[in-house]
Amino acid sequence: MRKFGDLDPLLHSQLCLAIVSLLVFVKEADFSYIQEATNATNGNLSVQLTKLKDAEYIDIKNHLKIITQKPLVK
Amino acid sequence: MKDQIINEHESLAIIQQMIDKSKERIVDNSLYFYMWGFAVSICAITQYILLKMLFTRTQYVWLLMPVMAIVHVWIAIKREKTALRKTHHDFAIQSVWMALGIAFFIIVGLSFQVSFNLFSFLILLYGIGTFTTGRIIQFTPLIMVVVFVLFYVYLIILLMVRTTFNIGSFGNCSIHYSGLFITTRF
Repeated sequence: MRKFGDLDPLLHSQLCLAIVSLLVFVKEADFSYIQEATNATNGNLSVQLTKLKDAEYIDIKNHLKIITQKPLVK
Repeated sequence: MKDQIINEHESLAIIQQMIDKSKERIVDNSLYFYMWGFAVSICAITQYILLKMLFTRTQYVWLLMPVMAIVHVWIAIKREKTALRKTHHDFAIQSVWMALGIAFFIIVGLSFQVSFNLFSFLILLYGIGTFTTGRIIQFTPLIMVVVFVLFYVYLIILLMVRTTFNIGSFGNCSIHYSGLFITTRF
């Protein structure tokens, strides 16, 4: 079986993992959709989305649409 | 959900939860099927009536189709702005119908230059789109397959019997009535 690389420590966080897991199956999502799915607060979600955006896991278009960008493991 | 560090069991639970969430709330896109179903039915029935009334050049009723295409694109753009999410399925279905839309225009354009049974090719394209969509959304695919197969039965009968395409026009409507089944599904 192929040996996978280690998961980025950023994704060990509950909310970050939930966001990227959701976006694996949903190609593009609205902020409100992610908030409803993860039951996170506005502020917390914004912070985690910013971290994921800086790590280039996601991209945010028009301040609302979140899309996946890079694979989670190498 | 809070920002906590988690172990592998919790990770799997979160991933499973998100998979289940992503499958919820299927977006109702049956509007497009209804729209095209009614448009094609209206064109087919109108042409049939006009033919029976011995009008000529009745094929111009089908000019409603490019008009419907413009309406479809306009509605789709409006909906996309307020859409909460877009799945890989949506992207795939959109791609299939975009390709078919281009193919329709090419086939119709070709029909002005070369004489062939245009209707058969259009039904083939409709059948491909409907069948592919049915399989992608895993919507009671049997219905789509049955409709698709019925179409080919019509097509074979048309080619063998060489009758007018009145029967084919009615046959064409039934693909789009699959929209009714999709609504009941969702």
